[in-house]
Amino acid sequence: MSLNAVVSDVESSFGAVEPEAPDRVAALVGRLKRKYQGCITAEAVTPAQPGRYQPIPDHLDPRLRAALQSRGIRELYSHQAQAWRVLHEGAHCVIATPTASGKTMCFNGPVLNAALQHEAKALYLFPTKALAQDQVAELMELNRAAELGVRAYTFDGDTPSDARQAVRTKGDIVVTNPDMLHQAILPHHTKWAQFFQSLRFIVIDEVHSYRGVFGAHVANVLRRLQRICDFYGVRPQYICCSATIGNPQQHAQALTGLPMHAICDSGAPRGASHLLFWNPPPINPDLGIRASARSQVSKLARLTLKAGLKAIVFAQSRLMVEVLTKYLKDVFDHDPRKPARVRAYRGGYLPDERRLTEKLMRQGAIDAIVSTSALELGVDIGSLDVALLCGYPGSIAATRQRLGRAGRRQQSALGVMVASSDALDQFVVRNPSYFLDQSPEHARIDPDQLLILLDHIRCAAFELPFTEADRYGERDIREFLEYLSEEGVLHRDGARWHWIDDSYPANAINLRSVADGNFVVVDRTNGKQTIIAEVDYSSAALTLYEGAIYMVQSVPWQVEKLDWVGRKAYVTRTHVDYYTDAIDYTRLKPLAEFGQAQSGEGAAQHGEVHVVRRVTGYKKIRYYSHENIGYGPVNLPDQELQTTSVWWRLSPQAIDREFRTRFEALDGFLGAAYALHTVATLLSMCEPRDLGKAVGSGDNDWSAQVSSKGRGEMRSASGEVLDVNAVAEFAPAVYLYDNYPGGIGLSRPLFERREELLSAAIGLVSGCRCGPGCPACVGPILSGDEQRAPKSSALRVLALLRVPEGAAAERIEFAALPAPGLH
Amino acid sequence: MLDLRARLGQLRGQTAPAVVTPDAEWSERLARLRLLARERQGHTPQDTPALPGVELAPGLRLHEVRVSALRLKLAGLDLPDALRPPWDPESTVAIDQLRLFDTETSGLCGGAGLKVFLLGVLRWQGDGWLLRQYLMTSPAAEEALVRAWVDECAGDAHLVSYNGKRFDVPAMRTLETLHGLASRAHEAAHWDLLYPVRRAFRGVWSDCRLVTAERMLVGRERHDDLPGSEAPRAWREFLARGHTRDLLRVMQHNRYDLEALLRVFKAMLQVPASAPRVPVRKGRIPKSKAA
Repeated sequence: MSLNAVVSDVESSFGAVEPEAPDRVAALVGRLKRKYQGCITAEAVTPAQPGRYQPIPDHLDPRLRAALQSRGIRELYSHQAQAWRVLHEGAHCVIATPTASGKTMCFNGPVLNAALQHEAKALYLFPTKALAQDQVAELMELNRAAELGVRAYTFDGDTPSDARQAVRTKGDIVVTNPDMLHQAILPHHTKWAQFFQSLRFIVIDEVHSYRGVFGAHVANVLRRLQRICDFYGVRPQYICCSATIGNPQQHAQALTGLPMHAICDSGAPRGASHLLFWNPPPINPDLGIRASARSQVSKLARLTLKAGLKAIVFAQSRLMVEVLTKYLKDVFDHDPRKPARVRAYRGGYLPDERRLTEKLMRQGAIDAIVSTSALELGVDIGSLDVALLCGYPGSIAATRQRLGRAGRRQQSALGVMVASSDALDQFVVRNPSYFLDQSPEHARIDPDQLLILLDHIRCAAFELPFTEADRYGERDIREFLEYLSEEGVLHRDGARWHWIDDSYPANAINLRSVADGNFVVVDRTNGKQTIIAEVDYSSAALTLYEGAIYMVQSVPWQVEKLDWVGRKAYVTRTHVDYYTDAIDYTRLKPLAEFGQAQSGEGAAQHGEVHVVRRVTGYKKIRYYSHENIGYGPVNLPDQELQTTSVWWRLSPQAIDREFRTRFEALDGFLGAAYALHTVATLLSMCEPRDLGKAVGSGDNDWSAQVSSKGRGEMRSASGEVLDVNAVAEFAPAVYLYDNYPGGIGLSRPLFERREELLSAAIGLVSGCRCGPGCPACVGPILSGDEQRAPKSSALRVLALLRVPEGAAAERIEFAALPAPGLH
Repeated sequence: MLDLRARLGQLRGQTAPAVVTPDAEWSERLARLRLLARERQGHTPQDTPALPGVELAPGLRLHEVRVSALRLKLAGLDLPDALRPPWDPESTVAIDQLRLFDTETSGLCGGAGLKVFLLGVLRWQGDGWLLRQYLMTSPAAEEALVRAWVDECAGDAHLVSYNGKRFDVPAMRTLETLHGLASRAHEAAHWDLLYPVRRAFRGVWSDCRLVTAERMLVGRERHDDLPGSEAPRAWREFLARGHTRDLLRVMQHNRYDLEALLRVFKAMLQVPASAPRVPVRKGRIPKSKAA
């Protein structure tokens, strides 16, 4: 939050009472409840909370006290005071209080105090450059207010090289991001020797965003930072800040490897907040088809803006951001002479475009902003009244962060979670207590992920030689050092391993993505060449194929040429009434097995797999009616991935016995994969895209997916459609895999908890009230397919895989199963 | 649905035992990565001629060559006793203060992982030049090498280099910090000839590299020189397999560079600081041949 907000808040708690404004949010809630009762499955109200205050502690430097007073701050919120106390006692701490509760003051106070009294230095890490720059601007304001003379500088890719020397030697507070720490600071630590020798505090904001692959990288960067601190003989205190997650303390400890004191009880005042769970009305109940979430969100946004309130709309994908923005602009921005009231915000936009939107939001010049998760982070966009979620974000924590974007100190706020027809959404909206009673998910990282660990051991060895006795994290890494010696990168000399390679290893390692190389989108309309967007490597194949409609601020461009090697997509401005969506399929081959166990009449296995994803074509979808108005072919290189997976197979005998046709069995496996994926996402507390699912033969002969016509279809390794009955050996397997190169530690726990996973999947499918199957259990089916009943087939597959309760299962010899090729 | 929720609630409290121990799994996966590693090559006796010099400390060799006064005169390697170069007319430096130096490193990218494995210093002693080459045959000797550097720079030493201000001195300073040696070597007076050469000949020559300056000012071409860019590979080859052949060529390259540095230095003493720029006509720019 901004310091100004603290100030205005403190002032208002001492100054005149604001006149009671009519509560327009409460009025909107009342109207929604009257008109759309059938859609609302749950309502939760959090009452307003008054602020709790504590005096500024006595040990504060008088200069800093005066600075605070000059800004109207005479007291602290209780959690701020607690943080100052804990830090004064020398402990590390993590602060996890809601958005806009004054977390910044928790660390700025102690850091400035130490800078004034002991010339102590501090390193601030923010996940993005933009957040870092906001932070320095704020520190400088306070600094100027009382001429404290503390020097805070940003150090990032934009810092000119002639200014870097000054930052290194004169900065009291250096504000940077993990990428710069990794690529520029740690490998050149000797230039920073003076800074490190006086380093007293390390502030890591938004620690909840360091999860998954990025989190594993950052944890390793922090291990390297710790080695450097040890080398310079300092033991800095860590101050972490987090949004609401289930395990702030444990996560901060996993990230830093240090014991943390957790501060979670906010003393900041908050207005009341309403939360509505919204299930779109059914159109065809038998098939589980409901009105689309986007049409409902678009309606709710219109109602919000017409009530004179400001809204933020969260969509699940970049594509959906553009579609929703178009729908809202069609209503509110049809007059091009007036300034826009609706703007889109997402990754892939150029930084200037994003900064402009942020600024317009803070100024209150925009009434609705449509965003992806890009705005979950603490980018300052001011206060909003209503948060609309188009689809369940996939985790309780992300949902709370998005809902938290609406809310002002003295006024009420409204959040509406609109469910899509996805299984996860339908589960959550029909079982609101799952969301309302549970604590948010745990942020998970696996810093010891093999490839990431190896990468950072390289970097660490470059920075300082390893000795025989050195530990890295909690582990003995001699085996890694020996491996790197064999590669000729390290040289062992007695008890030490020295870096002898001629490369600069940090340059080859990108913390944000595993495959390098963003694509730029080049507009060639009217013969000019302008870059209009950037797309990361992993989504390029899904969004930039030739023929794709690519949208920026809901303005459509058509991709004319994709230069895959040169990482460029050439587009021209177009006018069409449809958007495009990629059709892709995945095949998978096991490489090695780490563990296997009997599973009912089949086997469960855990191991390393090779995944190939191919985009075969795309659909054209008309706006508003959402009908499919055509297909186009796509010819792109395969996306390959080596990762860890858990998979299940059934014995061919059981398949032959239980299913009349192979079509039926295939339906069953595809449905089982769908249900297992849903349940595994919940069990792993991860986001759905972190975990991939696939059905295939296990030896790369064929893979299966639901075709664009809603039926199970088999394809050969080269991509042709196969006849199910023409395959000699029919032994399908269901795979769940970590959707990141090298794996990220999801599939092992799934293998270990396979019994629970199967039971939960059976519970999900059998407990669903639909007839033949629906998006809430085994995936969408089309009308006319009721006779196929994929739901009962999926239940049969799941039941066959489960070890019967009570009775000892008949043992199946694994040798009897067709072995997947272990090449 | 209720069933799933109830079960999920139960599941949260449970932990299952590990099935595979991570370390065992790591070994297997590392073993698979190893298969991808390149095959080792065998070596022959021609690859391993003996290294010159004496072992100064474990892993650090010193190779010394003296060039006597008479030979200097004949070879044109003599200098006046006191030097006042046109690019720094305020200073007067005695010949025995000079330390002409050049390093060979494990790479060019900088950073804490850069290793300096060969330091060559040319200084006046008695009545002739003394050339010293410190060769690190083991990275463990780094501290000893840094101490040798600090000793060479002690007192009223005056450094002379080619691009040493931006590359060699910062690299040595990084090593001083890594070994906790707070020396003032990086503050020693320093004539980096790259700058006066550039001022006089930028836009006149095709480039201002040392080999170009040597050819243009001294009229010498190198023939059997190992390109400096091969030095990192030669050192790794020596560490990994004990091959000394190319390492000896790196030492020779370093001596060539020091001799070139001395000759260019001597030539530059005659080039006025305000040397008129020769207009360049297209097609007449001398192209560099040496790598």
